[in-house]
Amino acid sequence: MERLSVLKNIITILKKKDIKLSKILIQKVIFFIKELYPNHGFGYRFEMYKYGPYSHELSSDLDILKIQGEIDIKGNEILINNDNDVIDNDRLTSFVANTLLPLFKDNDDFNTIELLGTVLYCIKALQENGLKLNKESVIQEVKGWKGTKYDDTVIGKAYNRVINLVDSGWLLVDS
Amino acid sequence: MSEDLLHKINLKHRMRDPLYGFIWLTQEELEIIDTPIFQRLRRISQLALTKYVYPSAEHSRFVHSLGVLQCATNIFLELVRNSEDLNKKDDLDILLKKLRFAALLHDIGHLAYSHASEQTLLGDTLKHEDVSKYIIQNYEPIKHVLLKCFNDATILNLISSLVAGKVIKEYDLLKKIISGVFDADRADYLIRDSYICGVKYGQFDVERFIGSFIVKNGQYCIRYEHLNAVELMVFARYQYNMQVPFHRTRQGYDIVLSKFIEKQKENIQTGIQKQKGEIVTIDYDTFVKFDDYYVFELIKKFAGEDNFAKILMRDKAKLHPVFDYTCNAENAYYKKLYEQFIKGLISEGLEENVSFFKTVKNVKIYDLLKISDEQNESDYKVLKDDKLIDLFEMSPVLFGNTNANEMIIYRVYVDDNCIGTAKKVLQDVIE
Repeated sequence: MERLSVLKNIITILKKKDIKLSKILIQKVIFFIKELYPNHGFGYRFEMYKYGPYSHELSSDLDILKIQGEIDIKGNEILINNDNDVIDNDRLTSFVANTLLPLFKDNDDFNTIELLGTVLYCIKALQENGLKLNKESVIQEVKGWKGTKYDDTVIGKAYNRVINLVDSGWLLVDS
Repeated sequence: MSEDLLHKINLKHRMRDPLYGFIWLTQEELEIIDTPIFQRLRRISQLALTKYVYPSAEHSRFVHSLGVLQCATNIFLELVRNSEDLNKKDDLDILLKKLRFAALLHDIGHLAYSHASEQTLLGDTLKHEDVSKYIIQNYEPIKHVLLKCFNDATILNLISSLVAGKVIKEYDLLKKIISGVFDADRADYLIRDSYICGVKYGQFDVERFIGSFIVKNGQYCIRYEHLNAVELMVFARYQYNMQVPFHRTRQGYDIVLSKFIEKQKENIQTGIQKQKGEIVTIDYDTFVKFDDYYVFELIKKFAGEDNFAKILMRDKAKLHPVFDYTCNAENAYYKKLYEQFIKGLISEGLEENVSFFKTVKNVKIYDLLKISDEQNESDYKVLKDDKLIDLFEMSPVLFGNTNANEMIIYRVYVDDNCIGTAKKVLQDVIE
């Protein structure tokens, strides 16, 4: 399935689950898929910006879907125009619906979504740069980006949620 | 301070450059430049087939890479001079060395003819930045120089993450200089490409722009007094994009080149082995030979039989952009016109990707909102009277245009034989 079809399918899955599709949620869900799901089919590059990891290319693809009439973007919300069926014959559908969505619970607000994305970014950045990776180093790194916006306990809880989600094979945490 | 820092990094060699006069280099940088994989960049053109529009656009990614090294150095030195937060640090020379290596290597993974071939040959999941990252981490001659210079195994991860990856907060500043909105890469290609093409689109007040930044409370900010220089760079980029990479003739040749490469995919040896969307290995001997000349040899080989090759050889007329409208993204009229035109061509028996080629390009004029459009704010702050204020609050001209003018370019190109039919269809559709 080509990139745009996968993206459209994910948006459809979220819609079928009655999830409010904010721009930040789409950005972070796709970021989690890119980092954690094998053969995701996305080449998006995510960089750390004001509200956590963000991809220009993903934003451009959303614009393309809008031009194609598949979605509408109203303010910060993404609306699906066509009532497509989910193509649910692959593991990705199951990963999004059963593994990822419970992380972004319905009541998660903007800040929590931002924090979860930031925590995963920091984990991967420490890992990619060959630096010590554990709960403490992630908390310090998140504080480096976010200053005093989140306290240690809140970051620690977000870290636990992210790390619990991940198969042990994907993230290696130093003891 | 600037002189001290430059003295500390021990600049020994220099090369002439039309924009900077001399570009000064360290011994280690020269060792990297002298590797076959870096020399390959001499044979990758900076602007692909833009030379079919602007004949002098013959410069390479090699000179651009050197230019980014110099421009990044200039931005860094000004940043240090402007920022009390920064100029007390005692490892500035090490930071500068890291920045310069990342700048020098930022384009090392470009494929032949860059963007025209990358989608086809790398697929959806890989980008040239991933190739750069792999080369920096694995190509022995580059690894050797970096490890010798820093004596720290994590340097390979750091330089590659500055080019294409996730950085830790400590290096965010360097990342912004290498690949932010107001980075050395964009600054150099705007002034270099416009200078060499001989166009005014892309020119801006680069000397003032370079000194426009300051670090305050750990953030990379814009100095209020320099806001106009930053705005001018953004406007210049928009004009440049419309007149150089998105130029309708250039875009027509991009389509032809992409289609040719797509057809010849099986005959092309890049040296890059992929598996499940990841690079497994690169055969460097093959990769070094995979340059613009390699692709053009292939074009020559098929010039007798392949229409795309004939167009690229200028032995057959270029594709004609019969339908060419740039309009506000919200404008339904042109979207409908475009759709009806395509339908009309098909009903006249014209086949897509044989007789006609369509392209829709979405352009956010200033592209700043995209940086953090989750809350419709800019990611950048302006420092005014010791306060950090959102860029859009300080620059209504950027904010206004970013919000109002999202545009779409609708283009349909047709083969030489079909111009008459296509023009008639367009006339019918318009009426």
